[in-house]
Amino acid sequence: MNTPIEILLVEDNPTDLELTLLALQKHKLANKVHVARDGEEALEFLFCRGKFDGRGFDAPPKVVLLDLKLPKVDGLEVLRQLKEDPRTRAVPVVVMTSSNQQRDMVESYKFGVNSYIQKPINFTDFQEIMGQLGYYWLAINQPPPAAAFK
Amino acid sequence: MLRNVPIKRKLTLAMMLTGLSVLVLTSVSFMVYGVTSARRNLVLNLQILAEITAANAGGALNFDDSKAAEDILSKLQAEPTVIKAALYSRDNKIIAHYPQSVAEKDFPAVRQSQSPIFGYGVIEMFYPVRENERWVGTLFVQTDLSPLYVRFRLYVIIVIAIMAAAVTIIFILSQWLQKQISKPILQLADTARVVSEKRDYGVRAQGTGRDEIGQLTQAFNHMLNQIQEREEALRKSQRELQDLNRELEERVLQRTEELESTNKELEAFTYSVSHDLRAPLRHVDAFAQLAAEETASSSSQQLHKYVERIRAGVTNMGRLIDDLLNLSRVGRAEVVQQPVQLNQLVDEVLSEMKPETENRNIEWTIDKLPTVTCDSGLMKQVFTNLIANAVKYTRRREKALIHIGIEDVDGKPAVFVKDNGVGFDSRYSAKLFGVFQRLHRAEDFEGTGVGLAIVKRIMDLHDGTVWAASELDKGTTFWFSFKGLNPNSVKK
Repeated sequence: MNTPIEILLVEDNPTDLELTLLALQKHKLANKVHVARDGEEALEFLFCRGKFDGRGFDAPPKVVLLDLKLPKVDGLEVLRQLKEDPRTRAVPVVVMTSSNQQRDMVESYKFGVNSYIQKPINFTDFQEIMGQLGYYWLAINQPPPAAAFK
Repeated sequence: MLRNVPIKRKLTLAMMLTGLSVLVLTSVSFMVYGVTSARRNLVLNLQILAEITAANAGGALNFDDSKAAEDILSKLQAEPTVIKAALYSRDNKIIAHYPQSVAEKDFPAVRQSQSPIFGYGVIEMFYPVRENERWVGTLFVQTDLSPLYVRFRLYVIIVIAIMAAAVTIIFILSQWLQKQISKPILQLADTARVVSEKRDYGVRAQGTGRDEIGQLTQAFNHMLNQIQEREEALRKSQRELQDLNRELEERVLQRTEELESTNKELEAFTYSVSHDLRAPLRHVDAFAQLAAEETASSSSQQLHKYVERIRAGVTNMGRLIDDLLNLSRVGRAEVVQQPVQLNQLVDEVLSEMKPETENRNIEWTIDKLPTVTCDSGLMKQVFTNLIANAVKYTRRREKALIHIGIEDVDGKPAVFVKDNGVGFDSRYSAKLFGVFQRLHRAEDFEGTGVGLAIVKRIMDLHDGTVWAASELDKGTTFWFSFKGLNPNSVKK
């Protein structure tokens, strides 16, 4: 548990969660993942409150993988709050959803999402995408410096 | 001259003039008659006086007895109108005169005429005096005319008084009569004015008589009745029309609301489909693959085939969902009209299709296409679907020929996509643009039967049409034409 959290996975569906973790595992990324099962939990984690009030804003995940259809607080709302607050605005967010509805895409990009991915039906493709995603955000991309979270 | 004078005054004037002229004529004749008869009386009086005096004076003159003559004349005192009188002898000399105060030289010389002579305010006459049938002298009498003047003046006063009274009476009468005549006319005029000014067709003119004005009033009222009835009928039909309009508007509003709510439901439905229907598919595919991986060591070829079947089914279903969502999105799309270069769209589509076409032997012929006004995204979808079809159905050709261009069809420009593919039986071309309609077996050519339906919807949105001609094993041509295609676009 000492390894810093690199991926925050926000996913409510247990099957999807299992499959996503499986795909990440295949690329040796699963042990750096923290899972939030709904929007509220995700917000608590990111804003360091509730059971996460020990966390600091200076150590956010390198990327948030966000589903849109979530219980309590939905994904778009999580995204909006995240991108509105100067302390969390710099955290990269990737929306991962079943939908390719224009409405969702427009809203996500308007709120400032960093990437929008439609989960493919084909599992092979999905695994591939998860590998690329992890590789890109954790290895290729330069994460925002600490000064960006103030 | 009297045109602008109110009818009241005209009537009064007419009656006054008539009455006055009658009165003046009557008065004048009355006066003339009175004065004439008074004069005649005066003359007669004078004559009688002269005759009596002459009869009495015969003896006195016969004997030249001036004393007796003066006695006789002095009796004229009884007649106050006598101014003076004289008796002349046969040789025309004055024997006696009356009154004594008047000098003899103030008497005129004897004249032979017996007719009375009118002087200034007086009347005088000479009368022969006889005694036993013998002429013995002449009598002269002069009387005062002033009674005539007095009478004349009286007449004038009477006439003036009568005139004044008559004028008053005529005026009052004419006022009353005038009211009888003019009142209904004025009322009629008043009513007409109210009607024309206020457009109030409910007022009525009051007329009781049966004379011409009464008839006119009745006719006028009858006319007003008719106008009022028509006006009411008009109002009624207007009101009905308005009611109908309102009802129609309400109904349109209601329908619009219903439509909006249906639309919202549809949107919610597609949203839900988009999110929730795909998730289980992904799961099925994932676990099928995981199962296949688990059994990778197993030599059961059959199991692998089954897993492949499961995954193929999942893929197909996923495509179906995507196509359906696409179709529903196209149907509800807002068309954004803007100038679009069609060749650019075709180029984009071809580059996106590279993965499917790069291993094929396809000879592309792409003509110069115009810049047209349309929705760029939707039009690109049209090219995508038609070109994808052409690519798909030429798969078995050694060398596929695909031609994209524009030509004139029955006087209007149409863009076409032509291939040398398998074609279809033109008997079924009516089914071509329906949803889920397929003219090929799934094992020959995959597909969901939505692509052409989408093309048709997009053309509908552009006020356009799409049609096709085909021959089995020869190839197929699709044409589409829409409002934004300029007739000048076809260059020969």
